Order: sequence, then C-alpha cells, then structure tokens
Amino acid sequence: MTSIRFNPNSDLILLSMKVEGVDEPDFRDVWVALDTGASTTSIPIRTALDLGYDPYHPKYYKEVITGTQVENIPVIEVKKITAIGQPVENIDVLCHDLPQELRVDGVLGLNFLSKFNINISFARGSIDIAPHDGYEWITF
Amino acid sequence: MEQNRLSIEEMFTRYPDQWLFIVDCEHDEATQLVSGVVAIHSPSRDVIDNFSSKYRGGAAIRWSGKLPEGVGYLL
Repeated sequence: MTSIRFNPNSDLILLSMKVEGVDEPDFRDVWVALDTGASTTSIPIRTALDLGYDPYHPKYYKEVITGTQVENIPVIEVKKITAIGQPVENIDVLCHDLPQELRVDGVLGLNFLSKFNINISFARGSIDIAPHDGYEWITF
Repeated sequence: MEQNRLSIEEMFTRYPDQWLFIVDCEHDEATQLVSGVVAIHSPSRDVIDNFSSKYRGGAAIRWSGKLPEGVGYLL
C-alpha cells in the first residue's frame, strides 16, 4: 500500500502523474487532478507529442461528454503511467488540453483508479492506495 | 540553465507564480516530486512548452503559484 498527503481544503486533489515516453528514458511528470467523475485519464496534446506519441493518428477517437458539450477526443495508449506510487502499463489516455488558467494538465480518471482499492480520508488529508486482485460480483 | 538542485518547496519560494520546467527529478515512493533542477522558469506556459518540445529525457512541469481563487471546478 502507498499513502500520500493532500490538502483537504483545496478545491482539487492534485497529484504528480508520471507519463513514460515511447523511448526511454523520456517521461513527463505532470500535475493532474484526481477525478472519480472522469472515465478516462487525460494528458495534454503537447505532452503526448513531446513523449513521441502521435495524437493526430490516435488508437481511436472517443466521444466524451463534458459538462457543456460532446467532443470526439483522440485516445492513445501510453507505455506506462505512475501515480501515487502505482504503475499501470499500456493504458489508454485522452489527449486533451485543459484551459491554461486551470494550471493543471490533466485528470487521473477511473481507468487508472479502478485498478486499485483507494481510501480518501478528508479528515486526515491522506490517500491510501493498493492494487486489488479483481472485482467482487455485486448485484445492483 | 540553473544547475542547483532544489527541493520543490525551495523552487516555489524562489520562483513564485511561474511555470517551472524541472529536470533531474527525484521522486519519492509515492511518485511525488521531491527535488530537481529548474531548467527554465517563466510566467508563460508557451515558453515552457517550447522548451519541452525540444527536450529529450525526464522532466516535470509545475505551476509554482496557487490555483485560481474564487472559482469552482467542473472537470
């Protein structure tokens, strides 16, 4: 299990996310918001390009419904991303530029988070994360 | 290019309200950036992006100021 601290009074939970490039040892560590409301992790288009990926010839386009519109956003597969001490290899990410005024480069979404058991304590300002062995069958 | 290794706190104090392009990064076991060398710094993100596009290797990009205040977020 890995634990990190965050500011529980901040408007966003901000984390380092390390994105590995096509060629080692290229990587970019970008500042992202933990977002359980996002289905897919995202990185800026420029970061994908800097790391040798081609967001203009993506693996596929994904129709993404945001708070205000529906967009077709390119999806690429990156070799590895690591956040909160946990690596995930060969993971799809959206290539999408958030507004610069946000000062945040992307989001850490459910396609990463769902691979782990995560406990967010706002009382302690901490996140505990550990891989899980699989999903239990739960009937809704 | 700066050559001094700084902690992330020292970087934010020395270069307030700027974008930082940080090389020779040291991360802790939780992937949090602990220290590095500030290669360039600028209030303009375009300057940082231009440098990043030419840089091969590992690097971190950070805004050393606060998030915009008095606004909400819906990502």
